[in-house]
This record gives sequence, C-alpha cells and structure tokens, in this order.
Amino acid sequence: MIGENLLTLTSWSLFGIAFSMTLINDWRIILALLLLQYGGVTVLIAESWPVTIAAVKFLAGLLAAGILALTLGSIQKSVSFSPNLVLPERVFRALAALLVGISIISFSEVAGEWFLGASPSQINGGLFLLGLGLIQVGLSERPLRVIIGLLTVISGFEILYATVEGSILMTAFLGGVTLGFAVVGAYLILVTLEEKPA
Amino acid sequence: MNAPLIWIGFPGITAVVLLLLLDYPRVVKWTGTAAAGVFGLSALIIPVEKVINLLNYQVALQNTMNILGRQLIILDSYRPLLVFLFWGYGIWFLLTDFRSVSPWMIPLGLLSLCIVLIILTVDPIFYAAIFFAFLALVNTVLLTPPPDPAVRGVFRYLIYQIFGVLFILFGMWMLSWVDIGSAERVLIIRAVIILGIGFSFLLAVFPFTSWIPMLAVENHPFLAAFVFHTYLTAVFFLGIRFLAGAAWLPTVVAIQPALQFGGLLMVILGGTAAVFSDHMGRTLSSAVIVEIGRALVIISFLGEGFQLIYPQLMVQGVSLALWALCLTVLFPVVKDFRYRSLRGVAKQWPLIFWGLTAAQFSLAGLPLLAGFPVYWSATSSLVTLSPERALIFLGGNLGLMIAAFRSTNYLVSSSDEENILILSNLMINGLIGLGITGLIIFGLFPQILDPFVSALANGFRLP
Repeated sequence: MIGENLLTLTSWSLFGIAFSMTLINDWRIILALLLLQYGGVTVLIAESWPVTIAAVKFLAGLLAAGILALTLGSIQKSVSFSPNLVLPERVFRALAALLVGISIISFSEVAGEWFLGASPSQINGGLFLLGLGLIQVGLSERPLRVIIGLLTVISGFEILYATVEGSILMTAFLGGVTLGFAVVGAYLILVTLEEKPA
Repeated sequence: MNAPLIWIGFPGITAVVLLLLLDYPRVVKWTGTAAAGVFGLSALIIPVEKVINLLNYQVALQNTMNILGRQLIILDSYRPLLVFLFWGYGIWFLLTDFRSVSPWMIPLGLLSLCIVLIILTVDPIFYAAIFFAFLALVNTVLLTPPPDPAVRGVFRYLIYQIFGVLFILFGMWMLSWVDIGSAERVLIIRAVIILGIGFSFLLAVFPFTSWIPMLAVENHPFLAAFVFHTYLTAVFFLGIRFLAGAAWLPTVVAIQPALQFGGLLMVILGGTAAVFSDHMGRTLSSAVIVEIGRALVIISFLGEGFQLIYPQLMVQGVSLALWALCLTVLFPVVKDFRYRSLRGVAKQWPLIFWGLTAAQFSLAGLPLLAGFPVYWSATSSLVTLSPERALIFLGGNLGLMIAAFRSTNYLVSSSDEENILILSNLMINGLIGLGITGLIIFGLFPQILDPFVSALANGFRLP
C-alpha cells in the first residue's frame, strides 16, 4: 500500500509537471517532464492496481517519449524546432492553468461522487491532468503540443479509469493508444516540417 | 476457421501488404478494390455457423474468435452489413484517382474498415469505444498524406474523437456498473448523459461541429468526403448496436426527443450554413452536417422506423462519392473551390457539372433523385410525431436546395478565362456517368433497394 502523503505529493507534482509543460519552449524538457508525468501516473494507478500492471503505463509513456524524442532529435540536425511561446502568451497560459487548477480543487469533492472507488489524490491527479491537457490542446495548433496535450488528457483519464476498471486487456489497449499517439505525432511533426524547412 | 478471421483478419493482412506496395499505385488501387469486392462477395455467399461443401470437404464457419477472454462475434445476420461495408469501401477505392489523391488512401482505408468491423463485433461492447481512438489515428494519417502538412481541421478532428472515446468509455462503464432493474435512476441518467456527450463528440453534434467544415475546406475533397462518410457511418452503426442491446433504455430515459432535438439542431445548422456558403467544400460540409441530423432523426423513430437509415447511408455514400470525385477531377485546374472560381464549369466540363448538380440536388431531396424518397419517408414519419418538427426538418432540405441553386448559378455562368484541358480518362468519366445514372434510377425506382435494406435490418433490431 502506498502512503497517503506520497499520493498527495504525487498528485500535486502532476499539477506542477503539467503546468510547466504548458509554459516551456524546449522540447527536450517537455519530453523529460512527460516521462516524469508517466511516473506520477504509475504511482497513482498503483494504489488501485498491482505495481507490475501499473508499471505498463510508465513503459508506454517511456516508449512514447522515446519515439517523439527520436523524431525531434533527427529533425534538430536540419531545422530548428521549438513551440516558440512569447512572454504574454506564457502569462496567459499560466493564468489559465492556475484557474483550471483552482476550479479542479473546488470540484474534486463533487467528482468523488462519480468515482466512488477513487482516493482524493487520484481524483485530484486525474483531474489536474485532464484540465491542463485541455489547456494544451485548446491553446495550440502545433503537432507536438497537441500530441503532448492529448497524452496528458489520456493519462488523467487513465488514473480515474483505473479506479473503476481493472481489465488487463483494456490496460493494453490504452497503452496501445498512447503508443499510437506517439507514432502519429511523430508522423505529423515530420510532414509539417517537411513543408516548411528552415 | 472462423468468420472474424476471414472478414477482419485477412483484410487487415491485405492492408498491411498494400502498405508495402505504395510505390506501385496502380497495383495498390486494383488490389485494394478487388480485395474489397471479393471479401464482400464472400460475405454474400458464405453462411456462418452452417455446414457448406468446399472442395468435397464439409466445413462450417464459426461465428466467434476469442482474444484474451474477449470475443469478436460475426453472426449470420451481420453478413448483409459486411457486404454493405466492403462494397461501399470498394466503390471509394475504385473512384480513387492517383493523379491527385495519395495511394495511402487504399491501405489505410482498408485498415480503417477492419477497425470498423472490430467496433461492430467486439464483445463486450465498451471495448468498441477504444477502437474509435485507433480509427481516429488511422484517419488522421489518411487525411495527411505526405508531403502535405497537417491542417488545423485534422487536429480538431483528432482531439474531438479522443474526447468522445473517453466519455463513451466512462459512460459505458457506468452503465455496466449500475443495476438497471434497481431504482438508481439518477445514476442511469448520469451515465446516459455522459454517453450522449461522447456520441456528440464522435458525431460532431453542435457545438462540436467545427472539424467538419475545417476538413472540407482545408483538405483534399476526396479524402475529406471519404472520412465523413465512412467514419460517421461507423459511429451510427455503433449507436444502433448500442441501442439494440439496451432495449430498456427508452423506458428509462426519454431518448427519442433527445435524438430528435440533436438531429433537428444539426439539420437547421447545416441548412443555414449551406445557404450562406460560397465555397463548394464548405457546402459539402453543410450537406454532411444536415445528413448527421437526418440520421439522428431517423434513428429516433426506433422500432421499424429506424431502418430508413440504411437507404439514407447508401444515398449519402453515392452522392458524396460523386460530389468528391467531380471536385477531385477539377482539383488540378481550378484555383480553389470558391463559387466564383468555378464559373464556366458547365460550359467547359459538362459531365463534371452534371455530376456536381446531381449530387447536390440528390442530397437536397429534389424529387426524382435518390435522396427524395428517403427524406420524404423520414418527413412523413416525423409529421405523425410532430408537424412542427417536420417543418424544421424540411427547413434543412430547403437550405441545401437554395445552396444547390446558388452553386449551379455560378457553375453555368460564363467565365472570361480560357478553356483548360482536363486530362480526364474514360474510366473516371464512366464512373461519373454511372453515379449520375444511379442517383436517377434510385430516385425513380427506390424499391430496388428494399430487399437489401430488409436484409441489413436483420443485423440489429431496435426496441
């Protein structure tokens, strides 16, 4: 059994990680944070599932981050790729993310009635990722940000869904979706950059 | 040997093999088309769970394939549905013109068909939702053939589909958890609302509609129309399958008014957008929005009434394919698909003009064309429920009709530009002619479709 303090710390760390991802420009740091995020997701899911099965989430995240890193790394040699957030945009994103965070904290008690088997940390962690993932997909049209945002949304959903559904096959399918997103994301990044080489 | 292996596994293998042959577009096109035709034909003639004589061997095709404790089940009554899907996709593959459409479309289209079949046959049903995520991913690549960059509409499509999948997964879990026989009405309603939001995302029901016009304007018209028709058909079939398995639903939740409200909203939205459209792609997207609304209204009839959806999807498929094919032929020679850029099309390329006109007016419900009998039947059924709703329903048709007249006006008006030679070939011209003839024949003799529609309706029965 994982300690309550660790779970609380993990859920708040997830907020911090997803919050940072909405603001940072460097894709290397974004992907490192994505990996950390999957670590946090695994810890929260391990409260409901055996650690060996929960670790599948981390493995899927590791592979997804690896695929994206390899793609972006290969592009880095020829073209400069960066999501290029300017300061006012960052301030706006930070305020929007904070607003989402505050809304989720006030909403989490009600959400507890919908996810009866979930602990407060799991609910907070899941909703933080869902909300901040939404911010990412809603505020950008760049392939990397959209894919990272969708992966964040799916991670949040996986935390909440793990509290109600323990099927190993579903875990495998959701892992497959994560990898599928990474592959399609890599493809979209490549075709988008092929059109406009630097 | 089992049915899912033949009609899901083998087409999947074919798709992967075709992906390896992309350097030979003609081979890909004809192999893909032939494969779809052969798989459809096999579904027509090979029964499931019945002993047949095959080269002096007595064989019976099992209906179930077990995968890690879950099952894919193809019942004998699903065979007309398989024929409908395989031949429907086959027609799209046949129409593919590689001079402007990427050869990726055929293997990815065949792959998406396999996923659609998994969605329709997987048991328990909530696994179907997760396969929509895979379907959306395949369609995302299909809509972004290299070297074209990904457009905004593709991202919007992907985002909305994933949200839809998550809502449906959660809603279906809630429904499986709630005891239907108990008095937990609040929980049931909550689950149905979540499912409703999920299906709204998948079906682009207002306010999640924006990806349809974005895709239609920004993407290649043929790829966009293919995804509109095939993807939305898959969502409707999943919805029908879900309703067929939840006979209790209309007794607990007022599902009929909800479906009609959503449907009429879409019909009015699409009709209004069509009136103000000045772009052929946007008009096509408006027609798709109206079609989604019509389908929702038709499904709301439940019982025997919902069967009208099958001829509706057939007419929609033929009309959209014809519309998209004509735009594809025009694609290399016009600057864009704005109405004013299409001036003089009727004079320069009469066959394309007639194809565009027939497709538009058929979807608008002009008498004597294929759409008319279907929309007339739907309106008649709606009148018995509520004359006001029937009037709103007709409003959508009127919007499409006005749009069709407006675009025709531009197509027939004279152009100052010099004639441009379109290097069309006999087969493409023949297919356009065949499409126009088909729309007229189905309009004059709609009863031709009756036996097939009755067979299709055996697949799923609504309460």
